[in-house]
Amino acid sequence: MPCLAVAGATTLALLLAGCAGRGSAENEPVADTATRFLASVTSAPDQGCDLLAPATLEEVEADGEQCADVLPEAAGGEQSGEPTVDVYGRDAMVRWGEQVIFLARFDDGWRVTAAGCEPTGKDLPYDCEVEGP
Amino acid sequence: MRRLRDHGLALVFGALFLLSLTGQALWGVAELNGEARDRGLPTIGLGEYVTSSTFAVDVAENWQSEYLQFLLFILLTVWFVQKGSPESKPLDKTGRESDEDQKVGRHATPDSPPLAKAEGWRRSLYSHSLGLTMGLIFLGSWSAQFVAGRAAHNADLIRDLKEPEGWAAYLTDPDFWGRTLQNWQSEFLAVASMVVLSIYLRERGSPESKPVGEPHESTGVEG
Repeated sequence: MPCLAVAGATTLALLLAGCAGRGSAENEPVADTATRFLASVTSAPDQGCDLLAPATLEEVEADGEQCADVLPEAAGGEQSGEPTVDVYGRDAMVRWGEQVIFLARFDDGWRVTAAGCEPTGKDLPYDCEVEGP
Repeated sequence: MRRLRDHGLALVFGALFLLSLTGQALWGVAELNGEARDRGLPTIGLGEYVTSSTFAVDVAENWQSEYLQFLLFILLTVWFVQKGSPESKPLDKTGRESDEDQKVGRHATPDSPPLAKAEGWRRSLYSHSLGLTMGLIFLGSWSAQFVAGRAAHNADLIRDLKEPEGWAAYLTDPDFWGRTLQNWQSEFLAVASMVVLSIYLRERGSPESKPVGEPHESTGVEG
């Protein structure tokens, strides 16, 4: 029956649209940016600062401090095992050992929006040493 | 020209749908980008927006409620009547009605749909095809709202530096039920208003209204 076919096609289209933004294809680039960021935080903080989102970098340097001076202490920490990556559209979160960082996708790739984050309780926002406005 | 006239109602509503959906997409991407700019986050283009979970959930939450409204209207009017309403069957016609009333099987007329003349499951399926189709689109839209809603909600949570939610948590999340029920209540109110107001009020020439001079007590009479 054509009506049932239309209904089926509509349902499928909506479900596919519903899945949009899960972004599993983005897991790898997110993990790659997180890896480069965390690797550079203590050894080459300038490179870590280049991976911060513009608004986050501005916030870090708001008090006149240099990002490269602030970053090692604010966002350093152990990461062990495999990173856990959650990507939804243009937003992502990576948990890696003691490290939790948040990222957003810009036109030129993923950038870190918050790092050095500690949990504050169920359903509450993380308290991050480095974050945007 | 005559062909256009003969299908004018579907064409006009189809055009209104496309215009509204386009408007929703344009204003939606503008709103999303406004919020992104406030937070120093990247803006997105129209193409990416209309394939995003944010757009999908906003569309699906309205679709599911509209199809639920019509599904319930189709099914409940089989058994429930409303005295004086043109939206109701005559008061003595509640239920599935006889094969003769429904023109099926040996009571089918020469120009009845072929499936009305068929026997067994094919006639049975056709006898419920409108409700089944509406129900399928409702379930599909509601499922899409759930899937897309979780993705969009999780993106919001991450932007607020919170943990994203799993499927089970989103099933009881206020975001899912808020989106669902705010649409359901308006649909149910609209149907109830139509059923009751059409008892006493008229729109001359509309088949959704009784003829202007028809008594308030007349039930199941459309103009």
